[in-house]
Amino acid sequence: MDQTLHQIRIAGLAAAVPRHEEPIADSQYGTPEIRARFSAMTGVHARRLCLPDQFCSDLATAAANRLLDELSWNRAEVENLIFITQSPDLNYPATACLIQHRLNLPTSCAAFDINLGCSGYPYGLFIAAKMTAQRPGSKTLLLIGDSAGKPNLASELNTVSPLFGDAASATALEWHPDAPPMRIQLHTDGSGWDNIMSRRAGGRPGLDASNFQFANEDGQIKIQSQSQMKGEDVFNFTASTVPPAIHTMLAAMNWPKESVDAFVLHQASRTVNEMLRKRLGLTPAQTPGSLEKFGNTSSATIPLTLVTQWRDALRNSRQRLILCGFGVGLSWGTAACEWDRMVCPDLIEL
Amino acid sequence: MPAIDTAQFLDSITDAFDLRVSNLGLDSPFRQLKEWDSMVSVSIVAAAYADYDVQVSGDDLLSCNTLDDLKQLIESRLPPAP
Repeated sequence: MDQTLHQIRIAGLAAAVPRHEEPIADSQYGTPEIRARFSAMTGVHARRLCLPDQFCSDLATAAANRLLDELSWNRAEVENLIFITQSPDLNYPATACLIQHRLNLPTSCAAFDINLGCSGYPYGLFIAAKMTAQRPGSKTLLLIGDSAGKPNLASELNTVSPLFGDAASATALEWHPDAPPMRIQLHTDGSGWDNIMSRRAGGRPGLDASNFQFANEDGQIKIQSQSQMKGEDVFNFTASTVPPAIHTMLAAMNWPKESVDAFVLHQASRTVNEMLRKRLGLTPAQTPGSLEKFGNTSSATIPLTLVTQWRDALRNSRQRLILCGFGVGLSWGTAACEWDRMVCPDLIEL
Repeated sequence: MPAIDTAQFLDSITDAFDLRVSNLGLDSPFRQLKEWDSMVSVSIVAAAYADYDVQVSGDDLLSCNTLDDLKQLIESRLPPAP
């Protein structure tokens, strides 16, 4: 999929994380030696985790509320609410419906969830831009994020690698006659569907003893199917697909590498990101990151990195950006955009 | 078949083990070592790509018993010399 979207302006961007921080060195994972090796290899030194009663939808709602307030948007004019997540509150209804209510958005607002992970942000920009009508006043909210790090069971604390952190974000899109075009290229290779997956009871493949956990904590029955990842194959997928995807986009836009202010890529781990940066011939300054303090934050990585590392530039100037998300699916997408002076509140801590 | 430098290869694997092993040889059953874990596994895949431009999958690693098996597998996939 390769399309150019016209007259859609990114009016604002906000991100939210839980206040609760877990330094990896102080976590219960493995041994001190394993934790030190883990941080050296992955680049993750701390992460934010939702408390037991805190959910990704809370983070997304907080980001959206702050953004709507700072934009002074009339909530009655929000026509679309899209929530991209793999951490819904419930199997159904779609969490976007709960958020529509919590945000006091009108019943004329379309609201639905999309099940995508690390590739989600370029997908979300495309869908949100497509749904924004080509007329004054048309407004869309794109919410995206996961609570991929939140432990579901106390017994997970010393066995599950502390790679993932929790975060969510809100992006505000509106029609604007002078907005620069935004080009988006999206890809899928479902042959790698089992490289990263989380099974469900009654699903295919079903649960077996190795990924079935049960515990009764605090009077609550909890059942967890652990997510599975083939790290080696994910590395190879990324190496094969991401550099060509970015080169293809640069060529399609006729943008020299040097003309791009920032390449904001999903950050799976330091090992993967250093490989990509070297293969793409980019400097650390051109590839801002949020991995060290927040971990791999799934689909929120790109907006979280923009808010925490690129906020002043986004607020005060026109920025030429290449955004690239890749992972579970397998799925990947690239966006080439020029965003001009948006509302961007400081990181929200909840 | 082109060959890769054995000393360099063993250094690279030792690095992937975070230097927690010494005296690795081509006959080392690397996956049986007590220091072997998922971080080493991904580090070896990353090293093969960085050093030789060769992709090694998780299943490939499982098919190798010794480092000589792995070296031969990488050699069989070396890109043609420029």
